[in-house]
Amino acid sequence: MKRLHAENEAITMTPTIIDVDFADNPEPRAPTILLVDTSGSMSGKKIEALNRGLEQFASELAADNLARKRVDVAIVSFGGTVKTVCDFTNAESFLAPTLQADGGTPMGEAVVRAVTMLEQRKMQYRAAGIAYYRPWLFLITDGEPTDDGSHYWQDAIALIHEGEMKGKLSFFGVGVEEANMKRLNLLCPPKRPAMKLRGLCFRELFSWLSSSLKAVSSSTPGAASLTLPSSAGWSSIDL
Amino acid sequence: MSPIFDESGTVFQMEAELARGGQGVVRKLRAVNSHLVKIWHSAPSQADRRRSEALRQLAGSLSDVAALPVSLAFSDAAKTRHCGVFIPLAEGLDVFEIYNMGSRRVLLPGATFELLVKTAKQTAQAFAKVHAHGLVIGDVNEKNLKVMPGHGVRLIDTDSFQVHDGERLHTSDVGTPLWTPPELQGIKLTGVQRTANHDLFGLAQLIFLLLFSGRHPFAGVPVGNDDLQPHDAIRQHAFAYAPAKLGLPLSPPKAAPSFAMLPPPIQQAFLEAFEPSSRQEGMRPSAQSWADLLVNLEHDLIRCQASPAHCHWKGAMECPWCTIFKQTGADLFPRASHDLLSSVKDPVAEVLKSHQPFAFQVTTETAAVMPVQIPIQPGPQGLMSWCSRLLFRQHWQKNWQQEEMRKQRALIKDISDKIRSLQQVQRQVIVNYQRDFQRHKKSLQDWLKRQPSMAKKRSQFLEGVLKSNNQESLNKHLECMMLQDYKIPMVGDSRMAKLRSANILTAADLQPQQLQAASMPSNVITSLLKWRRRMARGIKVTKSVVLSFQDQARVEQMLQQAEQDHQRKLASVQQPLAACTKSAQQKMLATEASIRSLCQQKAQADAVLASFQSTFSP
Repeated sequence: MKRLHAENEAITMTPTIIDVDFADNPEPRAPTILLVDTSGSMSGKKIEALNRGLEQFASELAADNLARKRVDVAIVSFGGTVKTVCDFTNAESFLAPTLQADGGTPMGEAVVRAVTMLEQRKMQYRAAGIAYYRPWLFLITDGEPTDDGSHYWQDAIALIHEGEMKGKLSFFGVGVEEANMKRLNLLCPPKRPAMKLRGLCFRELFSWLSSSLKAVSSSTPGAASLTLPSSAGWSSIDL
Repeated sequence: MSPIFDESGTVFQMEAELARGGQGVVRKLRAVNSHLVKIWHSAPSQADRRRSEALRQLAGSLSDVAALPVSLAFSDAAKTRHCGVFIPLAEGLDVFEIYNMGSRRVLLPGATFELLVKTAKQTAQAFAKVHAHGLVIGDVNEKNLKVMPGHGVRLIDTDSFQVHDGERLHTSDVGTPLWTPPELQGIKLTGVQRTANHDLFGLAQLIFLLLFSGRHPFAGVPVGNDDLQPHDAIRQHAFAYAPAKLGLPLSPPKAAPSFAMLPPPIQQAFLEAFEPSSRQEGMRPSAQSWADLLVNLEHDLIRCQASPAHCHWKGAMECPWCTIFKQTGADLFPRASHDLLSSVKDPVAEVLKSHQPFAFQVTTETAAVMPVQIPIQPGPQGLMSWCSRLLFRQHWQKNWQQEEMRKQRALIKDISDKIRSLQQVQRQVIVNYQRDFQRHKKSLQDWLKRQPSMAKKRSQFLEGVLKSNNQESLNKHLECMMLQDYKIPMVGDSRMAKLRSANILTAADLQPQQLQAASMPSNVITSLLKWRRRMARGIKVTKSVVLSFQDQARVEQMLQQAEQDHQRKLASVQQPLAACTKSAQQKMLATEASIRSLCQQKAQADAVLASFQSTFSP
């Protein structure tokens, strides 16, 4: 049985299973962790819209036969406690979970967990000789951290800023409705400030995210470097 | 949707969008199966039109290798608003679906390395032909090559090819970092003159990906701790399979095929295509030289003895696919389950054919086996003989001889009767044997009929393994469904806590025994199991139709075990057949010995009688 909830638990796959998985699909990977706020304030329409958005994300990625081989998705939720809802899964077999909202907002701890997971995943890629793109951390919240008094919050800020500076990860913060954008921006890198979700446009947000991840495997006119699609469809400020 | 017009003014109706790229959208045409239309995102310029016209002129001569535009597309009947191009429909699989083992397993079960070599060769031939016509592909990537196994390859998305229209050069302004040669990495591609040497970097990558079953040439185990994104590795010429002495930042992945599995000229060609000097124009191996190398490789492929699906270069020290399987458990070229089934013969008929009744024959009366001893001097022996000779020679001898002859005749008759009687016994033994044998054979036949055939057994085992693989895949999904993330009927907070304390955390953990052990009421157990079934129904698991080398080994092991059990039972069912043959054989041998002995006695008696008859004759 796979334990998904254990605190800071190491990934349980054995090297052999990983070798077989990567031999099956040695495509370069784009690891992505969705950090989703499932605190009590997200309950009702917000969590329902988020769940529908996640379903859309899963189906749009699965519809692209190359992107689904390259994108590896993990989901960490923070509502009351921090949970690894879904460990790293190739988009080919990723299924959107149905999240439920409850409890406080341990955002800092969730970020620390996600960065730890990313490092472990990268170690697996490196050991197996699988190329990987810069990982994405995509955080969605409608509030503010409730663990900002703990070491987690400061650790989280340090990890994100250092990761961004060293090119180890790309962090995207998205605020929903009453989110404390000021606090969220403390976490976000200065070059990529937090974006505000227009209304409950989660579907548009996740559609943009899947398109951005697909861009990794698409030809880009004019430049031999990755350009992201416009975020105008869901954000009040275009990226 | 508004109609679209070709250069002759024929009107077409556009249908569903098939693909969307950086330049435009490809759509189907109503009632037209052979062609598609590509509509550009923004109105094409005069230069775009001239490019399309230049490419259209080559469409015919390159039709077997590239889907070049066959006509300009206009959004008005007057043909004033150029909006795109008509292109031939290139059917087939994207090349990455051939080299990626996960896709190949589903789309082309049982495909071997030979298909990859052939596709690589055809790709090189297609590049050679395009280059020979003065074109440069520019945007080489894994989505722009369609493969029709058995029917060749075709380059698509060709409207971005670089072409000279006689007056000016129309550059290819599109690219993707993973496919951009080191010399162009990070450069804005708009207006950059691309060369065949740039294409040949992409070609070498395509060939490498095909021959190495999807392993990227610039993906390896990093020597240091720094992150090295694929395009950074390309920029640094960090070919992971280059000799270690070059000190590149990547080494070959352990689960990848060894570079030494390829003939040295092909290894050398890869090194030349990826090393720093390859930046200079004309330094990368040409498409034609790749095609020639791959033709040779195709001729030099042999099959491995361990699995007929394993095919490799004859000069390799060992089968590269067996090596990977031994090291990692991954079989890159598994056999399709239907291949395994087609080679099975039903042995029931063979078993029955091996059981034919022994053709016993009644022992016939034969001439003496041993030499017959004829009495030297027939007549009374000793004193009687001397007296008889002296006194009653004539009279007595006649009477004695007659008496002896009568005795001999009686003896001969007695022996003949005994022989006939024994022959009758033999006939009865044969009749009984044939009856018993047929009865036992019928029993064997009935038993064999009741046994599942080897084909059926194999099929059952294969299905079992495939089912268990699919079940494993389903379980993986169920393991990700944390119970506490769902609203499950009849399960509130306290029951959820109880489940948690019993280590029942995911949908996969919902098993009747575990739930009973957790003291859940029976109606709650029913509800939980029903919920699990509902969740499982919602999961779409791609059913696997191929068996890995490991699975094949499992099936073979199960079959061997089943075959041993079968042989053991078969031996016991066959035992009465052998026993009845043996018993009949013993009886026949015993009577035959008696008959032979009697024949010997009879021959002796016959000889004595003949001797008397010759001396007594008047």
